Formats: sequence, structure tokens, C-alpha cells
Amino acid sequence: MLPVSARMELRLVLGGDRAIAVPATLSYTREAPYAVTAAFHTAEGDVTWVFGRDLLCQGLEAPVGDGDVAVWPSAHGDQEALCLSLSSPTGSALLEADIAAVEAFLDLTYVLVPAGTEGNHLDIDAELDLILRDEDSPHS
Amino acid sequence: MAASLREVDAPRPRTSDDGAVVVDWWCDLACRDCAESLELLDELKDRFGDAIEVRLRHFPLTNHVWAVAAAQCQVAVAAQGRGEAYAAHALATIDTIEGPADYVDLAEFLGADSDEVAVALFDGRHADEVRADADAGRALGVVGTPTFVVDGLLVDASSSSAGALDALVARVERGRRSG
Repeated sequence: MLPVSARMELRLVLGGDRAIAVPATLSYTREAPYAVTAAFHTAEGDVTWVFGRDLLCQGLEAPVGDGDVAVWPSAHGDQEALCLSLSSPTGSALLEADIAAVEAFLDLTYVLVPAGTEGNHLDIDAELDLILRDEDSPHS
Repeated sequence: MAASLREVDAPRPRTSDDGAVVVDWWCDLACRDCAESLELLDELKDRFGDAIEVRLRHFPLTNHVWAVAAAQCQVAVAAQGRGEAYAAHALATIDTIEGPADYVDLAEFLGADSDEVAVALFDGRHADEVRADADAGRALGVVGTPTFVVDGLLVDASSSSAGALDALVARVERGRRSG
């Protein structure tokens, strides 16, 4: 089955009320059933972050996450947004997404892989083969 | 313990365009020993004035979680002409920094365009420059911070700064004579 992806415009929140638009593509595949990959298309090329699908989903309703990634819903007047706070040793950002767009994307991923069935899509034997083969192979 | 000294094959020229002896200062902006080395640099500047040019070279250490972010912010602010003040403030306020957002706020505090800094932290536009500095340091044998390189003398003050100032003064004087 085809992967699910959605292109959307996020806002990179700067100081005060300032923000700049950042186009992004969210994508999801059955091969990595627990993860949602976000590619942010910047002037310097793509910046990629990987989120837990459940984390994003829970973040639509209430604040969730600590450490590198935190997600929470926020409302500016009648405008509802999903806030994504990212921080890593090499970068950091606060982004806002259209909550309806993220929800629509996540709905599609749950059609592809319903909640709770992610483990069925992980090919443990193949993964183990890969790891063991790596260990057997001579290192140059 | 004393600062360790070593002759290295540093690139030439070792003076700036206007003849000042270059003091390369390999620094991690999240490093307390680097914060303390500000005092040593002030003494050098007091002594030699325009006869030296201190160049901040980034050497973010992996055990300081926000060091790379700090370095990228500094490069962004340096592009706006406030790099020296930014480095000094970042080091002086090292204990109050809790995350990358504080480095963006510091840029704003110094009157720099903090939006540009925030964007740089997100898209990594200065990551290559920081990496290039660190690579150049490693190539010279820099392993910790602060480390200084003046006229081919590497002074590693990461374990101890004892004797570092005297060694740097002597080498700057030699550099002035030969430069």
C-alpha cells in the first residue's frame, strides 16, 4: 500500500507575535508504523524530524511530551493550532500547524494502520536477520 | 597541573591583514573553563591592544548539550556585527541558560535581529561554519576547551590555565617580532 503524506504550511514562531511560514510534508509508512516523519522545507534544504504517531495524536487534545519534542493544542481566538516544540543539540524551534490538517493526515494513517495494530507491521524476523547478518559480516 | 604547550603546524599567515598577531581561541560557549578564559583574554588585550586579533573558533564539546546551538547562534549574531559581545554574554550567563530559546533571547537582549537567529537555529544555516571550525581545531590537535593557538604554539588550558597567560604573552611577542 502507498505511504500517506500531506503537504501543509506550518508557522515558525519567532519572538513576540512574529512568525514565518514553513512549508512541510508529513509522511507515514507501514514499514515504520509508530513514526510520523516531518520534512520542513527551508531555504537551507529539508530539516527532518520524526515524531511518535501516538504523541502527535494525543497532542491534538492535551499537552504531551517532554525532552526533545512536546506537542499541545492552542487557540488564538477562533483559530486552533497544534504547537510543536522541538529541541536537539543542533537545533530548536517552536512551530504551529493547522490542527485540522494534522488531524486529517493522522486519520489517513489510522486507515492504513489502525491504532493498536502497529506491531503486526513490524517484520521482526527480517529485522533480526538484518542485525545478525551485519554482525556476521567482516568489518573492514 | 599546568596548561599544556605544543608546537603545531598552524596555517599561515599568522597575522591579520593589518599585521596583528592572530590569537585563535577554541571555545565552547557552554564551557565554564572558557568563561574563565575571558579574563585571560582581557589581560592579553590590555597588554597588546590592536597588536593582537582574537578570533573565536567554535569547538562545541559533545558533553555540553546546547553547545552546538550556542555556537550557531553566535555565528548568526556575528554576521550582524555583534559576535564578540554575544560570546562574552553567553559565557558570562552560562549558569542561567536552560535551552536554545535562551540563546535566541540573548541575541534580542544585545539588540541583534533575534528572528534571524531563531530561523538559523531551525534551518541550520550556520551548522557548516561551526563544523568547519571544529574540524580545523581537531586537525591541529585541539581536544578540549579553551585552547589557544598563537604563531604555531598550541596552548591547551582545558585542564589547567596555569602558565597559559605567560606562554601566550611570550609567543605574541615573538610573533610581533617575526610578523
